[in-house]
Amino acid sequence: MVEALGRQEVAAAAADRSTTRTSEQDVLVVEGLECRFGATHALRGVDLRVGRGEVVALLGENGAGKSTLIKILAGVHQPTAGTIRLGGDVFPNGLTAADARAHGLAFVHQELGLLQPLSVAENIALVAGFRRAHGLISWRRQRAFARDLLREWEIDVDPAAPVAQLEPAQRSLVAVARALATDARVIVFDEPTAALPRHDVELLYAAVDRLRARGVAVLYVTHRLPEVKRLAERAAVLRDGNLVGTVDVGRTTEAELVELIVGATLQSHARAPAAGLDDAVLVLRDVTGRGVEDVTLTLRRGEILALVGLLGAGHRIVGRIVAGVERRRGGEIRLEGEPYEPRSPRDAQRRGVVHVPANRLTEASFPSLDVATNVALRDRPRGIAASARRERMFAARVLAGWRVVPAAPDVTFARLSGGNQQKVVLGKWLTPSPRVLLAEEPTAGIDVGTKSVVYDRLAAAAAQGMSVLLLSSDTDEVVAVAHRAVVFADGRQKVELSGAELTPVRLARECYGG
Amino acid sequence: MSAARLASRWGLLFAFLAVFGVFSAWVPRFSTTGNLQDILTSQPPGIFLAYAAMLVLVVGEFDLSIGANLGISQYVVLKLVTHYGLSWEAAIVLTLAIGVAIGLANAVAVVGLGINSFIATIGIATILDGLLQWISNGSSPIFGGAPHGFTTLAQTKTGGIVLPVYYALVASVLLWALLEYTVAGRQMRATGANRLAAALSGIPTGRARITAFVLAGLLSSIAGILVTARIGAADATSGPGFLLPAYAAAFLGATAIRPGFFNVWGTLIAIFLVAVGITGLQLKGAEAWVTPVFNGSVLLAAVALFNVERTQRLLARVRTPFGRVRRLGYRG
Repeated sequence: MVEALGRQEVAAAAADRSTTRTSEQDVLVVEGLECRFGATHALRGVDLRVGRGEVVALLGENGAGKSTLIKILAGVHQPTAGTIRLGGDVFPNGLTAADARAHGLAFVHQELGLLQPLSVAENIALVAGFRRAHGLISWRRQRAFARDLLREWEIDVDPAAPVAQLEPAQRSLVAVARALATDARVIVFDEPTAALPRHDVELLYAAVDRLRARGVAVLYVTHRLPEVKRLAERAAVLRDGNLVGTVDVGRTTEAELVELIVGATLQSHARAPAAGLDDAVLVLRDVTGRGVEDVTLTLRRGEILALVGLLGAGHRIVGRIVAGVERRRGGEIRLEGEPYEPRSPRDAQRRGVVHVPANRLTEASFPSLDVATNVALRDRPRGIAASARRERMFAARVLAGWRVVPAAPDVTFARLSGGNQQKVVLGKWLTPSPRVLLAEEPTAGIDVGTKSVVYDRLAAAAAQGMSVLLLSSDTDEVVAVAHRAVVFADGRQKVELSGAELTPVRLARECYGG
Repeated sequence: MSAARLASRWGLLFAFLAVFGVFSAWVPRFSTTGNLQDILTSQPPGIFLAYAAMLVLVVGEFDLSIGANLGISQYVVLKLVTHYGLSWEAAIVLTLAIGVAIGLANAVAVVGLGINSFIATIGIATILDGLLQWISNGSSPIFGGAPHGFTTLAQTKTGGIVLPVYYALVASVLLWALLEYTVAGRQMRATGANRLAAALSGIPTGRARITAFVLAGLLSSIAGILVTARIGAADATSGPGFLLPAYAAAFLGATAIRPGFFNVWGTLIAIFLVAVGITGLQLKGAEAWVTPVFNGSVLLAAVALFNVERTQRLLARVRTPFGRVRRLGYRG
């Protein structure tokens, strides 16, 4: 403990010295940063300042240049022009990873960058250095160091436990603590809450607050606007590689932020009324499966029905049963009045039930193949995309219809930005619209602009008669697009919300509360 | 520590003791000093080769050239003495250098050229086989004539046990210390756990992998030299037979001591478990074909057990709002 505190005092003193050398309190200054990759102009003259004890949010749609900026700071990419200043040191030609580390720049990467099988103590050591005795690693001292660091941050985990066994929130805190163990003066967070359950993000926010109190400069990349309001003093917004504005968060509304990010006012998603009660498309009666019991649901034509719950609540199993991924053990399902028991996803597709899984890169696409092939790889109705030429034409239609950038069928899927990838995946399954769409986390980790497009398309397809089962952990999303929501807990359906009752607060309370 | 974890940790050792006990009771000649000495005497080359396999597995790669490396080393070390007149000491040094060079060639192919290690090392192994045919061209594939000083390296006994057993123990301790108590070793482990995350943490993943391949080359070469020193003769055809048992031992070893991780002591226990099993069966009158069938079965069982072990450990509580384990990736 003493050692850890001592090191921080030294760090604080160092930070003080460095600020006296700069004209202001700015710890990280980026000026006129340009970056080109061949024909692509990823950054076009970006200026950014982050001061001591300040949290600056970095916002922008996917492909706006946020990731490029962060990779330049991390030493992964080199800028084409522009300077970076860290404390009193100027880097006119970009940084190396070693420069970044030596000058107190630390990162909490998107998915935390922790090594799952290794212990907490070791993950800390791999970044902050191993404690040694007689040239060999002293695990006793290493664990003691980790224990002190964790205690200081009030993180209740065993330093010897493998990271894989921690809760997601604990993992994110370990990643923060680890960044701090390097005496960081600037910490860059790259969407740290993207993979966190909602109720865990407060822990991370508290950690950011403590960083601020300690005088660390924080650059915080996020897609979640409430998070910006909660954490940041200022927000810098990138669009198409340009810095379109740096605003005072306290004097800017969320709507104004959205406008800055997408460049146009976002329309609200008026919920179209669902069709008549008698028009049932999918009926589940007393359905039982692995981890769910007695689920009785009716999905009507043109209806968007959200199934909501915490992890293990069972709503996902219901989705997997309907998708033909998993078999039910009891009860009965009817699709348009006919018995429905899909033996496989292919079987489900033939009956008009299409499943879009949550994990874009591992479950929903073939990242190394081109876009046209990605769009074509499905069991589709006869007559569509039977030849390579028609495949490309069909892909071009999907790309144009969903305004994917670039609209080129032969681009490798992995090269698209996250938002455009999601458009391709959804476009593939919604052209033409299936009878029933099973959408799992359709907007996870994508930008506000793409989200808005996705919501519009879902609403439009529903208005045309497509029924949607939405599996989402984003309560705002559920409220924005669903007609009804059924909350699950412990493998059973708990409550159904609709109309005025369907609010984010109520949903969260039903999910987390008793 | 829970009973389940204890069982998982020490299960392999119990299995070894059980097999040992069964054969002691079942086969009268099994537990004689002579037989136990025979078992010990024949293991060191296999131990060195299993460590070579293990080190490369630690960094998340495969090295399938270790068998060919052993083959070329055990042939060249003797040929240098008998045909080129080198002293046996010089021949050993030169052979070890060749082993290191083979490791470097693997590293260049995998780390430098970015070839999948499975393919790259099969390529190197095939080249080595060809070179060995070229070197042995025109002469008998098997020849003797090892100098006395060279064979004493392997045949001298201390405390009733041949020297290579001690070499293997020293190597075990050194590799264990490398993997558990040095920064380089931990960086190797981190590289194998998740190369991308390791690189983002600032770990030199290229260097870690090069180190593993070079050490594997050196260890394979030592294994080859020990084979020749034990028999006093070289056999140009013996290398490939060592490859799969080495992998079987490394995978089986990863189910014990530090379950889910490739580790030194687990590998050592695995070697002796297999050796005791095979010797017992042979004494019981099993024919020659039983050995490869046994080895192959052990390899399959070991990898299956390893997968179960790792899956249980990782999936235990790894959950995210989006479902199961999410792969770490740096999305652009």
